[in-house]
Amino acid sequence: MGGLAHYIERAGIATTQISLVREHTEKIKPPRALVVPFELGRPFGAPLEPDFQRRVLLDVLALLERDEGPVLETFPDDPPGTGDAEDGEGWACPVNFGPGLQEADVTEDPLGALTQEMDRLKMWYDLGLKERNGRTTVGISGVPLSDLTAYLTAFIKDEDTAPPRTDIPRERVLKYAIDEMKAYYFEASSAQPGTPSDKELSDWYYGETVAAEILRDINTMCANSADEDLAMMSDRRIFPIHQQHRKRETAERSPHWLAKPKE
Amino acid sequence: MVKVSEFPEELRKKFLARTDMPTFDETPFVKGKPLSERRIALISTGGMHDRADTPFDETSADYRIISKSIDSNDLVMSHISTNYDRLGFQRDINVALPIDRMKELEIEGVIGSLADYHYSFMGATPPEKMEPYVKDMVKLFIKDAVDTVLLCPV
Repeated sequence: MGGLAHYIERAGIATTQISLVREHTEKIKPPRALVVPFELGRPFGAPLEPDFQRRVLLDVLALLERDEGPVLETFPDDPPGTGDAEDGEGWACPVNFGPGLQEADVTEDPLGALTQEMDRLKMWYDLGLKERNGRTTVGISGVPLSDLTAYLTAFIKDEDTAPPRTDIPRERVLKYAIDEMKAYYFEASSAQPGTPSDKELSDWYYGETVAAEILRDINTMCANSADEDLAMMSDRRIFPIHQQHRKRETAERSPHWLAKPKE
Repeated sequence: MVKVSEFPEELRKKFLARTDMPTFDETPFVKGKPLSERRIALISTGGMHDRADTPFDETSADYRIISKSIDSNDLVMSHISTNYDRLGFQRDINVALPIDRMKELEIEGVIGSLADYHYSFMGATPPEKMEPYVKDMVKLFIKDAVDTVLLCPV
């Protein structure tokens, strides 16, 4: 981001920016930056908090009125709602996915198990859609989500399964499918009671769902693939950096049809 | 948890030690008009675009145009990174691209005006690869009388 500021300012147009990573900004030295103590992905602090967003915005715009630079200031406050995840009584998904309720076994019938889980979330997804006046980030690929999840569950048995789009490389279709499935789960879950943090939702999604079981198997398939583009997927494009430890669980519970891990 | 300071230590060090960042000997600094007279455009690196537009992919160094009048239901993200929160954006675009807050400041006269067009890159791309597109974008800024840019990373 700071590099862009240099290029634009060099062309004679003033810039100011948010910084989410102080260390990077200190290295690049853009003309004006406001370091904020927020999560990656939330440069203005918190959703649905217009007063707080406005404070951050006014502070970053105020840097434009300085006479000399570079300017690096720090926004002092955490966003509203911070700390909910640490109070020990954080959000818990009210849809029970525990043993006994899942009729389909993910090892024997991954698509069936995944479909059951997603069906249980559907009422929350639909409610979320209504509350957001129809806004959803699912659907970017132009492929129905059911086709994408069918592809994901077929992929873990055979990486050469025909993808639902053939006009783009298969690793891109795979990435769309992974991202859209996650968007569905997150949008559904965020409509439920409580205000879950990203950490709470991520811990649930990557730690407790059938979807995560599928993702672990996809990650193993990609890691073991001779296709370099698929192998690259297993680095950080399936599990985020703060959930990388989930990948290690694969070795203990890989389904029988998976290729053996590399020696 | 997706604060960088809360990454596991080893991964945090790796993240902070990125070697693909450009370095600059000097920092340009353009003095300008009072805020109340500035025309401001927003740039995100969140891989945002109109739902009907072409999604970003792992090779994208170019940008997408976001109209000032875009319906928030049509604004989506296709950034390849998994490392940042999207839940906030799913609930309220203004947490990542504060277009409604900027419109309020425009109405109140705090800023001169909000540009008609805004832009998004995908931040996973090395900045050097974006530079040619930035030069193209600057021409658009000039046509739109934009004198100030607010950069919004994710």
